[in-house]
Amino acid sequence: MRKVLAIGVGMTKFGKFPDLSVEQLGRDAVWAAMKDAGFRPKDIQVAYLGNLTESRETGHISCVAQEILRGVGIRGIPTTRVENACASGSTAIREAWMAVGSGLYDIALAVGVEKLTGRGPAPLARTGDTLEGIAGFAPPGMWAMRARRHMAQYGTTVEQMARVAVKNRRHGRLNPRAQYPKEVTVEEVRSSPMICTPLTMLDSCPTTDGGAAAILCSEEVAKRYTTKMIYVAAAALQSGTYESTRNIAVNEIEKRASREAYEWAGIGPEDLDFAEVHDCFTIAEIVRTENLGFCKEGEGGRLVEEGVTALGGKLPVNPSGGLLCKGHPIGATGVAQVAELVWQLREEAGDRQVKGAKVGLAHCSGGFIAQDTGASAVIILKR
Amino acid sequence: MVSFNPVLLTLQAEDGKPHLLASRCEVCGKVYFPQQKLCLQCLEEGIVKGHLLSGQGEIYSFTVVERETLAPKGFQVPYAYGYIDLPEGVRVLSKIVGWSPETLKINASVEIVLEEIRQNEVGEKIMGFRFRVI
Repeated sequence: MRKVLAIGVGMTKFGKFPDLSVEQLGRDAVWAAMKDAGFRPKDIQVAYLGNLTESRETGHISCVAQEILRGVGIRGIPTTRVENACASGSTAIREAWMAVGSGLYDIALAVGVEKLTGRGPAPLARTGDTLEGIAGFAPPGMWAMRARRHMAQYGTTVEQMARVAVKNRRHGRLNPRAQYPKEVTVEEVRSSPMICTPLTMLDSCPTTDGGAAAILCSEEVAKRYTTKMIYVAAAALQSGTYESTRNIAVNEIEKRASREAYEWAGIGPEDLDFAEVHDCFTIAEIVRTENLGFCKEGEGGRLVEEGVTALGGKLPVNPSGGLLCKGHPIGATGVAQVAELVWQLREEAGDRQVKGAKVGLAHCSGGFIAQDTGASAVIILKR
Repeated sequence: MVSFNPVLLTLQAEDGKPHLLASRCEVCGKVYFPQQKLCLQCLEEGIVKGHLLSGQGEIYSFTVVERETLAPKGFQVPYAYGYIDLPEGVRVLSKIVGWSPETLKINASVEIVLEEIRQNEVGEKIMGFRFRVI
């Protein structure tokens, strides 16, 4: 593998945009990333799209990546859509990283986009005569059950979980692209409507539309365009092991993905200055800060309680506001995390800047497969 | 009465009771639900045979769905579902019935029961399984 750099990033504002099409959201993000890199459409040599929900039902029978990219003049190149549920965007980044790292291409585009408002049942909902369907499976329930186990095994409290939402809302208020501009209190999180016990509405990320894009390139190309050299030090991806009686309070897949990423990057969790972590629910950030090695198993609740993961703390987690505040347009999320990493490492993150940030980590996991997680991606960028 | 899926659930086995249908590897003893043709431990062909799961187990974890918009068709909130651990080393996702806030707990004992989930076009009852707190 040769060295790969992140040279241009862009994202739309995240939120509910009933009047914007999935094509427009994707194209706006790609155009922003090209402007950021100083590239023209003809410069892109290979492209990957991360997206979960586009299908026949949403009017895209096939080749939605090509449909999006033709509208920004990107054509005549290898173009592929990848799907790994909530890790779809991270998977697109990994594909782009491999395309450049292998030496086959010099400039690769990863775009993630998702349109979720006005689109019927929640993504990842299960219906019909399946085991999940007849059990009454609801997507937040998986994390509700993990929360219940985490509380029983480690003494984690609902107040500690609420503090994740309070922190990420506080961070995201400083991010003009975030869905929610308002802070919340622990009391407000706990008194918001219960969705799946013990998780409330404000323990959960919102329904979001949005797009994000990142352009990766070789060192030779980057040197011609910029002096801000941001390296993709690792882009690891793992699948589950599907052990039927596993401990669901630990996401073992994330331990494996992060271990591989740290090894490739030649660093450990203690070398990180900040991280963007897949906080689809408050408990998810707690579990994942443990799995990614930021603290010991069972200590994730204490980590947020003590302010370690807040801006100004030792290891800020989700300075962008995370999924809980910035929003979670599924396919776009992993790419938007990389955009945040680049902005932080360039010291362009405004009021939410992590001072002197040199190394950042982005994590996304996706998909419920046989009581395990389908995909987990860990990406490390450094300057 | 018909099973919602005869591959997953038999309404009446030889003992007269409902059972989930699993498969068991004759070599290593690993039990799979839903059924597997290939043992995922041995990765050898032809060693996995049909197996009836026992109907009693324990709640591993659970949630009560309270938000109406999250409830699939046919489910009225609040309802509980969770993972049930069976003695064969199998974990099954199931709706949980017969609970109260005092009895719905991790490690609570549960047993399989049948419940009508709907009727088909000719008026037959389509039966699913639940686990009931004992």
